[in-house]
Amino acid sequence: MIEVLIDGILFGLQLALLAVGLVLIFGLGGVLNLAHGEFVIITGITAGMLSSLGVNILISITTGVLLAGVAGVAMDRTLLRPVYKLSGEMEILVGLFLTLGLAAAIDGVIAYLFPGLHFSINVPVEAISFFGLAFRPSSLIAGLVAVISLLLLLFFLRNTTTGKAIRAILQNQTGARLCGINVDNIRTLVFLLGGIMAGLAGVAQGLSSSVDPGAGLELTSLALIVSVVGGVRSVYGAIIAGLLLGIVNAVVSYLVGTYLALIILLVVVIGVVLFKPSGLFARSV
Amino acid sequence: MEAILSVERLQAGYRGLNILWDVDIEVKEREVVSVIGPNGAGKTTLLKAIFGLIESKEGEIKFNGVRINDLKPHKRVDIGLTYVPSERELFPELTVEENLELGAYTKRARNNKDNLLEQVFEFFPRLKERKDQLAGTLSGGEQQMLAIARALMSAPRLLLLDEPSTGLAPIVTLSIYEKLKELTSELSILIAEQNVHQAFAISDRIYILENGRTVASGKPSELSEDSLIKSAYFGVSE
Repeated sequence: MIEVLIDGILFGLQLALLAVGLVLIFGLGGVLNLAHGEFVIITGITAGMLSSLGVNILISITTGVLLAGVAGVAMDRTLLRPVYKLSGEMEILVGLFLTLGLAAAIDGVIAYLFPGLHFSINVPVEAISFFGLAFRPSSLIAGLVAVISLLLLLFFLRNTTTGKAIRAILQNQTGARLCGINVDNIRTLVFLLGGIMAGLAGVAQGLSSSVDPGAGLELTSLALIVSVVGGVRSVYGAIIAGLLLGIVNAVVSYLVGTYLALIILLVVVIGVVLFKPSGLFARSV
Repeated sequence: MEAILSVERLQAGYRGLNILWDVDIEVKEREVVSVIGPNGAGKTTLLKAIFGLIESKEGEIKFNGVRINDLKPHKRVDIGLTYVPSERELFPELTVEENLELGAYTKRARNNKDNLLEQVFEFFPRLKERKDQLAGTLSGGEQQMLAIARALMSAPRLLLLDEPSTGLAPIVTLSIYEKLKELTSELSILIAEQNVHQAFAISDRIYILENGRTVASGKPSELSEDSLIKSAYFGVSE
């Protein structure tokens, strides 16, 4: 049972890494990024391929993560440019269409290039045991990577000037402009961060199991569910909801099997949305 | 005296809809200038265009002699322009002090943040008392003070102020205006106001805006002699 919990926490951390980026990008860019899961795939494929070619594992991972960040910046600076000129419903809708289209395009290219492949990142270390529990070192590293990156992100948002500017924009974009904050540049930075955080989720997944190149949209929907439960503008909410859903998913899967688990998970989500439509944490950051 | 702001033949508005047709306005160093006019005359649009939240279509906006039509708002803050909209646009879930710190976001102001904060707290002691309170929990008058204080944190040379009396009790409005009067030794202020009595009391000069055009201007004493203006804005008919 403890192993199940640990699995759940690990998966929850991955969900959190995915959802924080989604939440920040939505809060700052007004775009619900339906291509968010693709960042995971980009990192997984890059890191998996490089390491299988014999490139040092750290270099492979770093390259994969950075590439996801670059993809985020490229999206912001090219594809989404026209969206920011719109407002209200149009902004949301056009953002949805463009990112959904991008996700489909990336999925198509990847399915063509790597049919049926899975990418994993192998860490050549023996299993270690702790208090009689066996841990795969790669899972342990995955968990550590996730926890450290989330803590760093929170520290950045709380304590740096740029982090405070991000929180300011989340609360009031016009107010931020009045303070002399360059909202466009900060938004680009947030796409970089979102890409990197999702890339790290890909690393965590590649370490603990494997990345399925066709799972982009599935990952995006998981991140969406997490952000809805957490409150779609709250970074803390995304982290807590990620952990919560990760644990619920693991425990219920263990008890009744994966298929029913997904149904129960969605029932939990519907329950939260019904009773607290703004999510568990309505406050931003 | 040097003009800190000069607006010439300005046309601005929204997509396909002009609001300002022909606006000429000048603000000199350490001057308080008010723009008055009926609802929908374009007062808010004018301030937004000067600050850069709305693009200007024709004409020229010069700050300190330099054309700024194409500068983004954040660059305008950098050169000493600041804007307090009637909605205040505070950060409700940040504390008073955090709101003020963000006001000093530009590099120029950031290096002098501690000094600026001290000055602002000295000027608005009420805000110092409430510095750890969330901005969203302040009263209307306190929020207006905070909005002005946050703008002052950018060390501005010209303060654009939209309807500072919106939603405030007359007595609170009075105290805000008294504070503004104290500020005029340091900077220039351009106010858009429907509250004509306050505007006349504080201003060195007044512009009257109607249907997107400046239709009259002058010292308060000159304008209040004008019988048309008297009947339109003071409800006095002769």
